[in-house]
Amino acid sequence: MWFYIVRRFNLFVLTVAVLYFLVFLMINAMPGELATNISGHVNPSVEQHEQLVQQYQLDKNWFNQYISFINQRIHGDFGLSFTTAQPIFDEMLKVLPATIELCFYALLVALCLGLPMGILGAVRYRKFSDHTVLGISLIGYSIPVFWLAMLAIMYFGLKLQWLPVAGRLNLLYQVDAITGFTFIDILLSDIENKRLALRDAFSHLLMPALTLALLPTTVVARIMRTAMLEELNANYIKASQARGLSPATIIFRHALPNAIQPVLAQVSLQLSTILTSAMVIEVIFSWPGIGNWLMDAIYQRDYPVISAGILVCAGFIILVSVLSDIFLIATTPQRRSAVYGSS
Amino acid sequence: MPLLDIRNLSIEFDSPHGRIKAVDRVNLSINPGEIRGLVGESGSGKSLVAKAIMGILNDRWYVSADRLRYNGVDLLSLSAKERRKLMGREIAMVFQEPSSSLDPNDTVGHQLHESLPMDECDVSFFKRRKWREERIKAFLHKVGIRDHKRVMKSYPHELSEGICQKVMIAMTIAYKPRLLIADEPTTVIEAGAQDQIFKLFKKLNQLNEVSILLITHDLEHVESWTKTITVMYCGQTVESGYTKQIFKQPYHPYTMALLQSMPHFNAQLSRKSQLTALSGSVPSLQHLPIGCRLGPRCPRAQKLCVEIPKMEKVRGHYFSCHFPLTEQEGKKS
Ligand SMILES: Nc1ncnc2c1ncn2[C@@H]1O[C@H](COP(=O)(O)OP(=O)(O)O)[C@@H](O)[C@H]1O
Ligand code: SF4
Ligand SMILES: [Mg+2]
Repeated sequence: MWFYIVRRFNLFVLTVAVLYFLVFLMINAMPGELATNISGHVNPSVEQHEQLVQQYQLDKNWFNQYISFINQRIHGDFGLSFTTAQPIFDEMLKVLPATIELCFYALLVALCLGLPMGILGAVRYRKFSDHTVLGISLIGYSIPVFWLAMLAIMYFGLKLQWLPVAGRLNLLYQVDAITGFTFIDILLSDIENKRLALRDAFSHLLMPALTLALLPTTVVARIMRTAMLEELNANYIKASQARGLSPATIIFRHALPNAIQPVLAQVSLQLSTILTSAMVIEVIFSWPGIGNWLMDAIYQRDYPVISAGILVCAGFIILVSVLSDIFLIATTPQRRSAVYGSS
Repeated sequence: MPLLDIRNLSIEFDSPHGRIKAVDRVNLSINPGEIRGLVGESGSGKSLVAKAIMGILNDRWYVSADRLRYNGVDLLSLSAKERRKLMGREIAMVFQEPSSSLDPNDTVGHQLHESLPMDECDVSFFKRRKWREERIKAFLHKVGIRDHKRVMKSYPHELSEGICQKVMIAMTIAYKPRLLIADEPTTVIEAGAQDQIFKLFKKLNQLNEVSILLITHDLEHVESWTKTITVMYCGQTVESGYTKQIFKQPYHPYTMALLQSMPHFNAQLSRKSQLTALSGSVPSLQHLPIGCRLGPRCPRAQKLCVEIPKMEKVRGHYFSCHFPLTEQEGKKS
């Protein structure tokens, strides 16, 4: 077990190192002064420039530059933003929770809908419900997220006026960002009508989260269906049927626990697609998250912000996939033994 | 009335080459208290027959039979729920691959717990746990597992195949079934413990009147533990009858070949001489010969053999062959 974790951790470190190297190359390739691009100081004074050269070892060879680049970034120094001249790290801390919140709820919806759909499809294999599940997931898979988002805005936002079309919370509510997560912040704040504020936050969240959830829901449903089908055909299921156990026991006590672990691990690999569509959704719904922030940065050619965004998003995805891998191993005795066997 | 009565059981599935009869009109019957052997090379469809009896083939398989009766009840017309009630309570099965027959994600102890019939439990709710533990311990001891504590705490992959098989057997006998289907129960068990399992079966058979369908490809086990046998080749029943009779005088060329592959069957066989065997190998399901499926390998095959031979009966001994071995020939070889 520990051996395995260490191995995964090595992989993590190596992948992140490669990621940093690519971003480092990118920064070098950007037009303009290297010291400016890497640190975000526009028009530094001579002393400042001197200091930056020191900091990033720009007078040494590329390897030293790379190492000190990693060093700066790991210690949370992502430089300044061109547009606001604020430390990028602080800005990121402001926008990151919004994205995490959006993705979290979307993933939650995806799991809550997708898992039962997948189970249903597998249990009623090739029956009407199965075809329905497959049909729905095919449709859901083919609908472009941005198109659905705009339709939703047009219909629920503008025509019916049920839901707000932009932002996270009505400006009426003066809630300080303590954690950055709206619901928690509202609960922590000392405003009056908290319940109204919560409702408002919820109505703001509803459309973006649901549209974002569509794609992962269909993916989860399909992965779950396949995994469950495989388990249902396994020998031990036949054996428990032969022992006369009830279908409910067989499905929920035996097949499901075996099927769901690989599914959860595979789903966390979907996080990269979720994050990508989250950026689109954020732009459409003016959700103040990292996607919106990055988009602005791209429009403004804010190179330090762009590179920081790439580092953080990609690093996050790598981290999650490593963690989910470890989670998978830790919870599946069968697999653990396979790992022992091979090592 | 036989306890299990199967007449012309066919099991088919759709392949890219059309529908294939993996099991072709098999006949099998077991009387109450009988131990019947079902023998045949691997791939001859023994496990399929067993699974069809249990009703656990998935919907890819099409099972049809003129008669598939257990204790007078037509199994094919039962609803899934009624059939489930019968399984486990009346008919139990020991599977061929024991370690994959246990849930890999669940402790052996819990799976044993789950399989205990609770309607026999007559103690109050709070004592149930203890009652179950006692029962499980007793069953595990019965099948020859001494360190029941460790076994119950283990996950299947932590145990050897042999132990897993013993656990499976313990589960099945916990129900006190009337019919026990044992699909190659001892192939994965070390030689010393094999006899122990067979003795247990024998004891169940004698004390509790359990009928047993013993599926195996090991003729020596069949010879020493069964009263009657059915021989299958390639999805067809070729011969059935009393074990003693068939061993003395097989009528079907395939049975003959099987018996001749047993070293001690030919007493006069000189040392280090070759055992006789049929030429060729078992045909794949995609290339089944028409008529008698043994045709291409059969030393006695003639033109007529492209038609499916009928079951014939001679003194309580059934065989399906157009050109059966006669008494002299049987003796001579
Ligand atoms: N799931 C399956 N899919 C396709 N063919 C199968 C499957 N299971 C068994 N078979 C085929 O059915 C035949 C009988 O198999 P089986 O009953 O397991 O034989 P036995 O138990 O006598 O060794 C074999 O030829 C095998 O290839
Ligand atoms: S029917 Fe013909 S081919 Fe089949 S076993 Fe008899 S002699 Fe051989
Ligand atoms: Mg078999």
